[in-house]
Amino acid sequence: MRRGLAWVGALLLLGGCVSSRPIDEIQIIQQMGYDFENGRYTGTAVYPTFKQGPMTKPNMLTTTSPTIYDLIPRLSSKSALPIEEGQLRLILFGKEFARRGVTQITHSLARNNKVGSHLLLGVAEESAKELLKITAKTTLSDTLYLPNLVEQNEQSMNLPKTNLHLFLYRYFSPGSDPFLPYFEKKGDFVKLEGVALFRDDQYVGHVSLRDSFLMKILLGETKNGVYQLKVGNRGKQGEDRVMLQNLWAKPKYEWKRDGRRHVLDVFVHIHASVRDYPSWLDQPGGDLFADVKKKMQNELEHNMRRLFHYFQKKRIDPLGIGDFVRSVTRHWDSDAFYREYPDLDIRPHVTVDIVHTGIGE
Amino acid sequence: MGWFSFWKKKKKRPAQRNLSQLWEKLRQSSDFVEVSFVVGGKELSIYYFDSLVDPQVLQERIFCHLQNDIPQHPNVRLEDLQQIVPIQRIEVSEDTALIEEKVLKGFVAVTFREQPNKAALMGAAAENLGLRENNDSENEFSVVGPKVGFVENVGVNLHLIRRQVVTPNLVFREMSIGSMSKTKVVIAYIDGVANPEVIQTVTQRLESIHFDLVFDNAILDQLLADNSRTPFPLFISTERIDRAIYALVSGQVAIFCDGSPYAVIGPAALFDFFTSPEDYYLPWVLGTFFRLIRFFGVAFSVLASPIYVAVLTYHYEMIPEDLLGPIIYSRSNVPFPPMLEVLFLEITIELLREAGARLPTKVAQTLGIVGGIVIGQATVDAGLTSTILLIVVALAALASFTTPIFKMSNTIRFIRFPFILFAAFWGGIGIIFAVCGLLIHLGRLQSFGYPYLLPFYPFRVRSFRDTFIRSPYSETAERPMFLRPRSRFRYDPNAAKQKRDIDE
Repeated sequence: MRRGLAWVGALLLLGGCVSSRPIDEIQIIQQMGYDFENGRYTGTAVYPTFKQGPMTKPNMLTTTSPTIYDLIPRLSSKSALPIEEGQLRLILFGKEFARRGVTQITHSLARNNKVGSHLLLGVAEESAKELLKITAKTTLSDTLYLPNLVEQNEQSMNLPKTNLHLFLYRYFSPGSDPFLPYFEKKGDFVKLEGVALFRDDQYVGHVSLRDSFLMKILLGETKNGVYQLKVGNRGKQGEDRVMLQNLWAKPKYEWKRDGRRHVLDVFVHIHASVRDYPSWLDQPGGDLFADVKKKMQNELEHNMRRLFHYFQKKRIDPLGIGDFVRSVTRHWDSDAFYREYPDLDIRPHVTVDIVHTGIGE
Repeated sequence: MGWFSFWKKKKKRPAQRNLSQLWEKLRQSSDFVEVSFVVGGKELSIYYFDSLVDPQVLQERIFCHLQNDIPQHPNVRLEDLQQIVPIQRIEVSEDTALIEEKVLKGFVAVTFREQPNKAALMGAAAENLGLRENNDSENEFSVVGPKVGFVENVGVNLHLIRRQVVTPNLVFREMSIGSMSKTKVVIAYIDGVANPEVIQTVTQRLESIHFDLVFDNAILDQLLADNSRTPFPLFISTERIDRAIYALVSGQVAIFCDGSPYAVIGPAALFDFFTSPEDYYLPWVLGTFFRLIRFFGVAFSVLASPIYVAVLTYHYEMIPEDLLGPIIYSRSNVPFPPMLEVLFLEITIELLREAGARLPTKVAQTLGIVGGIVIGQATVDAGLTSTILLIVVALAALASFTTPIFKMSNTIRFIRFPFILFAAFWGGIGIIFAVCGLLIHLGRLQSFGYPYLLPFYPFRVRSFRDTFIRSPYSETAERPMFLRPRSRFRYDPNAAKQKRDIDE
């Protein structure tokens, strides 16, 4: 009896120590934007308000501060309910902000147990605030326009997979650099423009969505992505292009020594389907795509080489080549490797198999 | 032992009454009848309770024969009455206590003048007077299978069992329990199947019961229980014949009690409470599916509203983004914290159930509609609870009723409340705590000395054939070994497995 009472007492007393956060008494923020303008940081929070059943309306809170850590407390001073970041789905960095480094944010996120590692990060071409404002204005019922956009593109299009977890992994790994989706404002719309590249935590440049297809393949993500290829010179746009869809691709890296230099051979085997092609290609008899295949291989190889050069010039390694080399090298030295990296001979070899053509799945 | 000590004490009582004192005492009651007459030169007296005796038997068998036949047997003694009166097992006794008990059970006592301290006792009790003749097993209904259930008369129940289990090994052992009710209690088991230790335990437990009135088996159930503080029923009580027989055949022991349409079956494991006889009447795939649904129902019923409380109070991070809108919107007008909201609705549902159970069937139906639809809709409209919670709580209540044994479904609805409190005070970790506490409690329970969590703890792989999965009959020839039956197989396992590809 006494023991039972002690239990109940302990339950009640200890229960008092927990801070409860009933769901309707907090301000859930779902997207956050960070900008750097005129020497001050700007924080933008997008939170949903629920009206008329499941219909939601995104609202925004903005504040500026000379420091980053101060942003959320300052946002709180504008909010009726305590701000909770547990449902964050996307954090958008302005380009200026990203150029100065995002560690302060990501390092805090890495330790924050309320935030899932599935959180998406992104870079906005101009200001994150503007971009969020557009999405808040144009989308009425969908507060998660940007996260859905990213996920959709990762799953079926050219964007390689990114999220907080992968960002932190690539950031902390000595043999790779992180990258994030890159958004641009196009009139009243937001457009995914490609992949923003980072050196350590600083934005250094971006590649187009077309190149991000190559990145996706080179990163070893085996499925999805489309690539357009020019096959002839017949004048009108679209008349001479082939739309290639990646069905299954696998890169294979080989690290070897050639004389005094190191050589990295990259073999990529793509099983592709041709989604759309100009009608003149469709001639009876001949092997329709033998020529297309060859052109594809050449162009892909060419573009990959260009991409590698770009990365080497920028001294960044978003593909994690350092990681691969480490895995085949005893006593790998990161500094020594990256000293050699810009001059590394990287040779892509692409084979394309056209598995089928047409729209049919 | 207890019952016999009571017996001895009474015997030892110094003022041992003689018969005339006994009649004096019984005469206080107006339904006690004393008839004295002289026939063939013999003065005889007949004593009985009018309210207990079947008048037809009394007149046709006893009075008629005593009056007509005694003159032809002038030297008849009490011991010779069996020759005259066509009633089975006439007993002659000098023991006042025995006579008192028998008369109180509906026997007729006959005395002769010349044998003043003896009485012949003839059974003339109206066994079925005022009792139900049949029972359609309404409380444990199943669509397929026999509908006949046990009735209040223990004799009928034994008959029902004996008719289906045609073997001399089926043993009924009778005893009498209750200092006032002297209720006839019968232990049934199959000799050579049930473990003698179990029989021994049951007999001992029953013998050591000190109690005045045994109205129903449910009281015996509690008096027999290994642990009286648990909300869990430790024995199955069933009104279904098939269930009782299945238990006997698996090596369990059944207890019947006069005046109760339920059989108490033990030792029982937790999982026995979630099997329904219907599982065995359906094809095994369907039987298994429905059984799994039932297990899911239990888990859902216990955990649904606690999880609602925990997530809404502490773990908003866990809500999927698509559910966020509906949940927050429906919560936005509710003035209570989630715990009070849940308790309010849970208690409403309990009230409805309790009221429905107390009211006559026809009113109860109306009440169900009024309660379910009107109150539910009104509370939501009034902003006292959220729509989502209404769905959760209603589903949880529904799921708790899938349990075939009524006692267990009560338990399930009861243990939800501590879970809700734990969830409200400690969130998700509180639920884990409560689940652990529940498992510890279940692990410590015993039913007639057998672990309650069998076959999980202790772990018995072979017995899983009939817990989550209702295996086909080719696999269930073996009795559950954790009952330690004396014989291992119910039927020939090899013959059951034989494939009948070709019709010969």
